[in-house]
Amino acid sequence: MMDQAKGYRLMRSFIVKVAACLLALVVLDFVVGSALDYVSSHVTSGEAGRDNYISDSVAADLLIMGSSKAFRHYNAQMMTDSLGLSCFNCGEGACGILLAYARLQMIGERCHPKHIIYEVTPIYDYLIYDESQRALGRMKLHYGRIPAIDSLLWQVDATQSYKMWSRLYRHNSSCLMDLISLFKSSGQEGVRGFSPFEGTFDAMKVQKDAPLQYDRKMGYQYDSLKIKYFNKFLDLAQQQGSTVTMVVSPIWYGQDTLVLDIVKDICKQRSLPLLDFSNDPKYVHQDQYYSDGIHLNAFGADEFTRDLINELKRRGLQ
Amino acid sequence: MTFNSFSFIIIFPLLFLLYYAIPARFGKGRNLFLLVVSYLLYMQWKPAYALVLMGVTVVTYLAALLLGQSRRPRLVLTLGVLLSLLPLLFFKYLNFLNEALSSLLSLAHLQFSLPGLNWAIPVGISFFTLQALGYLWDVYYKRQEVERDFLTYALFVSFFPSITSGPINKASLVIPQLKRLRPYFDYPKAVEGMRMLLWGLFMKVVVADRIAIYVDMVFSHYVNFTGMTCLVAIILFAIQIYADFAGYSLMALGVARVLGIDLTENFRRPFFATSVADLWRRWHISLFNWLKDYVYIPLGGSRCSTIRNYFNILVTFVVSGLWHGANWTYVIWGAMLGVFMCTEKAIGWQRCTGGPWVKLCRIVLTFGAFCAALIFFRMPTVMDGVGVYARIFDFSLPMSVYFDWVPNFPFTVMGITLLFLKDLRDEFFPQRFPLMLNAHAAVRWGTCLSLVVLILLTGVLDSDQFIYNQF
Repeated sequence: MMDQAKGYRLMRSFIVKVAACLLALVVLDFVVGSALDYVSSHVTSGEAGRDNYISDSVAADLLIMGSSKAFRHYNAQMMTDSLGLSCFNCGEGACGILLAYARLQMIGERCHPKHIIYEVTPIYDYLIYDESQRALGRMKLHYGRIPAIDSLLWQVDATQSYKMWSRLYRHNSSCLMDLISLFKSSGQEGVRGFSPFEGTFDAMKVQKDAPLQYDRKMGYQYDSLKIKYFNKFLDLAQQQGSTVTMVVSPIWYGQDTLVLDIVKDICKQRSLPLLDFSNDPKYVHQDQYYSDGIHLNAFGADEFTRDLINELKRRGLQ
Repeated sequence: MTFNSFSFIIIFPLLFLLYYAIPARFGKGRNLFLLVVSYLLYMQWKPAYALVLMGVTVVTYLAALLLGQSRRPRLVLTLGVLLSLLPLLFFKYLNFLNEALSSLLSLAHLQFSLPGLNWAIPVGISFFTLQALGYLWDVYYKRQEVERDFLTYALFVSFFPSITSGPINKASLVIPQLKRLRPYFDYPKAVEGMRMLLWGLFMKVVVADRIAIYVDMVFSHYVNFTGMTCLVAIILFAIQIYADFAGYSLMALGVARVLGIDLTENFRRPFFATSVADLWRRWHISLFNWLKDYVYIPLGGSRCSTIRNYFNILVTFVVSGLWHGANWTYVIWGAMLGVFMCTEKAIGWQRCTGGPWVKLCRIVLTFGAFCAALIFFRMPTVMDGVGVYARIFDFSLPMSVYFDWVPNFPFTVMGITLLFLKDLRDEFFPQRFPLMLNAHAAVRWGTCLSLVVLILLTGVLDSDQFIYNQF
């Protein structure tokens, strides 16, 4: 009985200390997290600055949205000059429809773009892909701002609603980049959000004998959540009065058109144009236009943008 | 459920409170609680596979009971071992044996193969099977008393902290602790357990999972990277696998210790080893002790001719390779380490004599040998392993290294530096610079809180997989 009583005392002491430790952690989380909130919301340069600009300030007639292929392939200045519409490139590397939806929600608080060009990248927009959660990284910083973004985060991972109690967690992995950006001279990354890959084709980064990107033999596994948000994105654009054009930009390998069937169906249902450049013989296996097997270089991006502008003009987008 | 998962962080405090809500005098009640929890956690993954765990437990329990009564104990042992190994062979090695057999027969222009098995391997099967077999052999060799209490024995085999990725515990260490009436609450042990849990979590999510981003990127498309990049990636992989597995083992030890139970130490700063033999006294200690006791020594160990001794070493390491996976890459990995060990023995390098510079050179050489073999451990096929070697030794390629700058590179450097400093201090200055064990509470608390902040800010918190779970 003596041991038992002593054990209870020790246990109480242990629990009190763990509770004190948790309390200290909550205070630390609030203090350091608030400081990082301030830093991340005041960054004006680098990637973080670009993200802040897109979320808080961008106002343009034409928005480019989608993955790194959007970010690196669409020369927004050229489009502004040629189409007579102010254009901004809101593409983001390793992100797709989830981030595009969140950004359109935030932009929609201020203004409604007339047109949206959406670059379709199957792995980020509707196929199952492990890396898709990366898109949440920047969204976490806007947690609590718009209910639709909070709900999106919870749907991707139900535990996010608890994890977001920690302010430090919201800055997980992005804190360093924000701090570095804070001390950089201000200035947007790229011109009107567009930042092409400089340099020439790096042959080491492609498998020359590889057949097509997304070979149908691999089979396609669709991500229901992404498809849901693909439709929600289009609904939101419609509510905001924006017209949407789907585009698949060139790819060195070429692409199995079967992978686009789901987008074709959606476009057909909603009467949206789909411009597919992925198998355009002008671009397939043409090293001079590419930086690697997936991305165009600056020269290729300008060439593609010119072709796209001509196609858009032909279709009456001015 | 892994220790770095969000679910575990929620469930563990509940388990802790429920466990200690059972008075110490009801030792069996506590064991029953742990057994039920262990099975429930195991069944979270695939409920049906709990039957495999129960099957191995029942077979080894009954075989050990029969060993004492039978007039033919060797036969009982053989049957017990074969029956216990059956699930492991079936789930893990059937496809491998099938492919090897059909390849062999195809050499004689014969076509034969069994239907392939496309089932997931029961998690932790390699660990709990070896742990149960170790007990059976110990009973046979009379190094361990027969355990008649099924509850205690079942808990020994299925104890949740160690079931998925080890350590492979000795019955002589764990069973007496389970049978003994444990104190109601062991405060120093619980605090030590929490510290281990915290440092293990840091190793896993800050060091291992951060490095994994770079390593996975390089090795999934190694033909796109220079030889120097492949070399850096394999060095980083060595650190990744150490931080991953040692981190997991530390968390397992920590969880068990919070519940008042000590498990086998599994890692002891392996990258400060001065020889390959020394490395295996520090790396996955529980597995290599098991292999030593139940493979190497029964084969004759070192008490035989030199050639036979080398043969025993090679066989032991090849078995170790096969234990890690049913793939020729693991066999080559094991064989390479066996050859390194034999070479070291032949030239008398197993004992380290000489000054600090000699020691440093030997540490670097040992690490290099470990990395050289690790290429086959990491790559999915033998051809890929050879391909990585070819790239590393292709001097026509640019001597540049690809770095994924922000945020991975600085976070990786920070994590590795902290891990290195901690191991350096533990290895060479164990009494100096205490942080988590500092006499001043402010330093202890400050260190622990800083670690939590670092984990939250720089850890890869969405990864839910340990490398050794797959074995």
